[in-house]
Amino acid sequence: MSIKVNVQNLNFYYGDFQALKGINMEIHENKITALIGPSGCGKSTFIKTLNRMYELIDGTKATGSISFDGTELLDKATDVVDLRKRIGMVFQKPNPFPKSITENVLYGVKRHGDVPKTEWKELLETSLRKASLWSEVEHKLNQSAFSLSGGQQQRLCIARTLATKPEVLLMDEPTSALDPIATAKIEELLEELKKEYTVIIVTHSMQQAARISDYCGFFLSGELIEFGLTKQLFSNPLDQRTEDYITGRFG
Amino acid sequence: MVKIDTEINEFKDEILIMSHQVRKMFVLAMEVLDTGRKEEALRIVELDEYVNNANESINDKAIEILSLLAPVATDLRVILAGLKISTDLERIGDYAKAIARFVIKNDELDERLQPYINPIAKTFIEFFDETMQAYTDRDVKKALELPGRDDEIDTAFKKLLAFIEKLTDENQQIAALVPTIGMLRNFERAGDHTKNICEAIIYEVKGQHYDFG
Repeated sequence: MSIKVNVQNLNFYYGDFQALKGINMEIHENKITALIGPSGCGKSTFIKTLNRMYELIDGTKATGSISFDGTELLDKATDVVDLRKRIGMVFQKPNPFPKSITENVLYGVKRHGDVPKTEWKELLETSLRKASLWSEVEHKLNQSAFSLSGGQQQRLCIARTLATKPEVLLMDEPTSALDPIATAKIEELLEELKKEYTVIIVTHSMQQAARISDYCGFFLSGELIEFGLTKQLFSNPLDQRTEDYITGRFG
Repeated sequence: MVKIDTEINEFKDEILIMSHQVRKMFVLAMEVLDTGRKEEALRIVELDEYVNNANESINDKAIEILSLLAPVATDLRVILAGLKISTDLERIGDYAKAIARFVIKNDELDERLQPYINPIAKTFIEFFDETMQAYTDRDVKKALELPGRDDEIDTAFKKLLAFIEKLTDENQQIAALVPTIGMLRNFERAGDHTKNICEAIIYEVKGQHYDFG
């Protein structure tokens, strides 16, 4: 089984505050890796380092190594635009652009300009199909993205990310703003997506992490306390702090 | 204390109460084998009904905890181990009932066998008591050692078989003793299920599967 992203001794700072401390993690290709932990533990910060989103915040600094298919991701020479195309991100709240469904999906492709116009139509359909949204929107592709329900909007954001043909999908609590039915659809979708993509998901729902992920990491106070197979972590965790957190006896 | 702690404590209490009833059945079985009192044997049959109901109640409680509180890690293993233990206790209760039925149907035991029955029954009850104590204390070390006691039951049983062989060699009539030997096998089988309980204790505490055979 190949390692898609290899994180070694990653430290991250917001100014003087160290938000991540010596993180080591091997992220497996075509698997879903879930990151859990209490608020402020560093899990969202961690996924922001994986596509260097942190660079949008002043005074941040990352040290250590993140190897992405052999390329050093933290290296300043690494093209961040190309990187964010290869490592896409879906956020907590659905954030479609105030444009039509079609324009939302093709937004990144048009910006990058690396797909011929003749292929846009096919790409639009493929991306929406992969995001399990095609059958619901095929007759209203020119309507505003805001006409969709919250769950549909989130799947549209996933389709928008998929259109740029990423290799890794980062998801920061992608279902926390959705109802259980929309959540179930996204979870079902993730099972499909992992056949083609490597998925890293931050979730506050431990049941969701247990349901959908292959690997799971537990963060606490900026440290990765335990990382391993989800079935091991939820049935027989090695660290008492993990046990206390997942059984609700934390603190 | 979080809600799941309260629920799990109640779950384990139900198992312990069930085990007290099963123990009572075996103590009574041991007595009726000695006295032959059929009305006491009937009490064992009645107690078995209680034990069967307790098993169902424990299953229901487990389903409630699993569906409402979604336990994981140790909590989950307590429930899974508890379900196994409850099933084993129910079977152990069945063996006590089988002994009671034998006493109800048959006249007094051949007195030549009496000296051999007591060690078998006594060893089993001690083994059972120590096992349930290990369950209460979550004592893995004990749970690893205790299955050795099952060998003591087997040894006591072999002594009985050796005695029967001796009678055969002496050309004494043994046909009437055969059903009694079959009845006494219930202690041996109950010992096997007690070994299963030791395996469940180890699983609950350490998350490791053991097979004591």
